[in-house]
This record gives sequence, structure tokens and C-alpha cells, in this order.
Amino acid sequence: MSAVACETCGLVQRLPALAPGVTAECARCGARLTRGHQGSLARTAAFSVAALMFYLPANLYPILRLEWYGTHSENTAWDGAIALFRQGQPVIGVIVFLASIAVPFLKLLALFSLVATVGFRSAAWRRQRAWMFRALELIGPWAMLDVFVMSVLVALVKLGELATVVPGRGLFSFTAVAVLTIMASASFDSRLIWEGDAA
Amino acid sequence: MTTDAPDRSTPPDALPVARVRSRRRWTVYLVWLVPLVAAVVAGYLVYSWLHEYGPTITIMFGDATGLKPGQSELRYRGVAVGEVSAVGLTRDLAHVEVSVRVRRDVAGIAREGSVFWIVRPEVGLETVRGLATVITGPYIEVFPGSGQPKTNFVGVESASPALGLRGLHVIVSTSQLSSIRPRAAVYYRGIQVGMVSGTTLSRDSMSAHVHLLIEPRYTRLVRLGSQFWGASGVDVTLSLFKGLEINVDSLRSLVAGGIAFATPNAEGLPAKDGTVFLLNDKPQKEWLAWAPKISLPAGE
Repeated sequence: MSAVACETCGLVQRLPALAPGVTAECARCGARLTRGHQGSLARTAAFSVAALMFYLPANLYPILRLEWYGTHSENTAWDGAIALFRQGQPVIGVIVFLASIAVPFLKLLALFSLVATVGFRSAAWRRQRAWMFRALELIGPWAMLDVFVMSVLVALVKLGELATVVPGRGLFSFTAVAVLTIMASASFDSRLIWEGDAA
Repeated sequence: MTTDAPDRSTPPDALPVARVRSRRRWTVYLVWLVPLVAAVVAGYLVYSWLHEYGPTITIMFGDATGLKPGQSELRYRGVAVGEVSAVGLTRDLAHVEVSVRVRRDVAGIAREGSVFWIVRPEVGLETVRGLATVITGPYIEVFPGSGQPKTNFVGVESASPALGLRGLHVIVSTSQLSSIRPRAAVYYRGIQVGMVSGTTLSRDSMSAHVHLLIEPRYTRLVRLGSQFWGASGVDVTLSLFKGLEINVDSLRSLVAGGIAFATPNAEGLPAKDGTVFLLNDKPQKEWLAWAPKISLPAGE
């Protein structure tokens, strides 16, 4: 038995020990208080694994296809970062690399390590893991950068026969990675890090 | 949020108790459908990435101006069937080696006898071709052969105009080639029935050979007794009674040259592939009067 405050209406209430597959609702407003240890962890793990699946095709396929005067050029995120770096825009190149390749990868890494340590009920590095989770939430939107840029480009560059930007086949996977990692970090109950902590 | 530690272990009884809602056990596992679907979709994407392109073939050219890796296409009948993946020089620097990734579903176009050439804008007296490549840049065109699959090819400078066309191949031989060039027309009674597919020097270098391709529909017109003459240019005759007589076959043959032929009334045997005829300078009056009745196959 522990006490929690409802995140919606603020009512402090007692929370009985939850069996797997059981959720707790606020006694006053009915908002979900927690999915319990198993529920939260399973959702985070499931979404993380799904995101990992899309990570490879997201980087294999081009995310942008530029058709220009009948010729075309397809670029993966990696191509774009390299091209920017070589063409004297190292800062933007690094940002593209970070946002497109590094951040999604780090997010996945962080999610998996959080799931694993909580799954094993590890008591080590609790403050550091809590910090990692806060960082995860913070950098989350940056992984969507490519999707935003692409949506703007596709809408802007419509010069008919002369030049057109079409979303590449990799964009779907890219969006899937971004959305799934966001869902994974949203379903992670950060209180689980402190589960069983006596202090 | 958990309250401070002493309260958490023994919360005051005054606090209300959260409602517990138990779901069916299996709904907990429902979330694992997400990675399952993801695995199927992502697996399909990776699989199709691996299988999009089949074999990489290399083609040797003398010059690869304008070919760009990742951009220039390999085309067959105007359809993109592959993409140039690399352009480099051979070790002896004498040729250009172009690597082309061929799409898997049409990998069969790369086989023994396949002909590759680079299509560039071409402006000639008679025709203007490949104009689109002024803007898009050159592409490689292929005409598939029929032999065993292979991966190393030697490209040709330009494709023979007769490539891929069926019909009767005959040769007319002349001592001196005038204005006849490949793609020039072959006329029968002023109707184009074929074209010049190429010009070569005969093996003994005694004469020039003009290779003609007669369209399948008109192959019956060519008999062993047929007479060929050059239909090119202007025929100027100055005679005492008629005055100046200028005879122009057609503007097109005036510019590009052409070959005409007639078949005698006693037709003779049909010509076979590779039959050699003599090319006359001008037609004799009686040839123009020949009018054998040769029925053509139906259809266009």
C-alpha cells in the first residue's frame, strides 16, 4: 500500500498493490493513476522494439526525392548530412546527423536500458537513470526534425515540371521511429525507477 | 506522486483508496502486436531494399561525358530498368567503366548479345534525336540479347538503326558511296519500304556495301532480278529539245540520300538475307516501267 496523488485532480489516495494486468483509477475523477509495474514496462518495451525495427529501413531508404528537370536525386539522411558537411555547412551537417541518426539511436538506447534496469529491479544509478529519463523527454521532439523539414519542403517546392520534392520511401519509417519512441517514453512510468527504494 | 517515505509505508486511513480495474489478462499482451506489425512492415521494407536491384553489370565506353552515378538511367524502350552506380576509368586509362545496377525484375536484359549505347542529343541533316537529353543528361539504352546472362559488356558508340527490327537484310554494292547514310530511306515506287541500316567497306575493300533493311511486310518485293539505284540528289539534264530538266526525287532524299529499287515483271526468286545487289547510278527507263503484280500480306 502506498499513497499517490492523481495527476489530473490532485486527490491524494492510497494505492493497493497491483497484480499484472491491473490498472488503478482515481477514486474521485476516474483518471488512470498507473498501469502497474508490468503494464507500463511492457508498453515501453513493445514500442521501443517496434521503433528499433523501423530504425534500419529509415536509414536505408532515401527520405527525400528531388525531381528536377526530368532528372532526380534521392538522398538518405546520411547522404544529406555528408553533403552539408562537405559543402561548407558543418554545423548544419552535424545538426542533421544528430537529429536524424544519433538522437533516434540514443533514444532507443536509453529506452532499452531503462526497461532493462527496471525489469531487473536494479537499485543502482537511480538518480542518473531519472536524469536520463528527463533527457529522453527533452530530446524527444528533435527526432521529429526531419519530418517537419520534409513536410515544409514538400509543400514549398512545387514548381510543376521544373522541380518537385517528393517524400522518399524512408520517410514513413522515419516517422514511425519518431512516433514510436515518443509513445515508448510516454508510456514509461518514471516512478518505476524508484520502486522499492527505501530512502 | 508518492508522498514522503514515512507516509508511504503506512498511509493515513483517512485517505480514499484508488479504484482498481482489472482487465482481461490477455489485453496486457495486446501491446506486443505493435512490434509484431512493425517487424512485418520493416522486414518487408528491408527485404525490398535488398531485392530492388539485381546484379550490377559493368559496361565499357570510350567516353562517359554526362553520366552521373545515382542519377543516369539505364533504359529499354524508354523505360528505366536500372541506374548508373559508378563511373570510373579502367586500369590502363583507355576506357571508361560504367557500373549499372539493373532492377531485379528485368535483370534478364543483361545477357550475351545485349547492346548498350549512350543516348545523347544528336542533330543531323535528316533527323534530330535525343533532344530530351539536352536537359536530363545522357542515359544508357540497352537492347537485350538472347544468350547466357553475363555482367561485363562493351558498349557501342551508337546503335545500328536496324537494331531490334525484323525484316529482310540485303546488301547493295557500289564502287563509290555518295550521300547515302544510315537511316536513309529505301523506296519502291516512291513509298518507303525500308532503310539503310549501315554502310561498310567490303571485305576485300574493292567496293562499298550499303546494308538495307526491308520491312517484313515488303520483303516480297525484293527479287533476285531487282535493280537498285541511288535516289539521292538532283538529276539535271540539259537536252536540245526539252531544255533544262531538273529531277528531284524528294526533298528528304535530296538532303539525306536514299535508294530506290524496281522489280522486273518476270519477278524471279525472292531474295534471301544477305543477297548482294549492284547499286546503279540512275534508273534505266524500262525499270521505271516495270509493274509486276506482287501481293502484299494484309495489314499495315
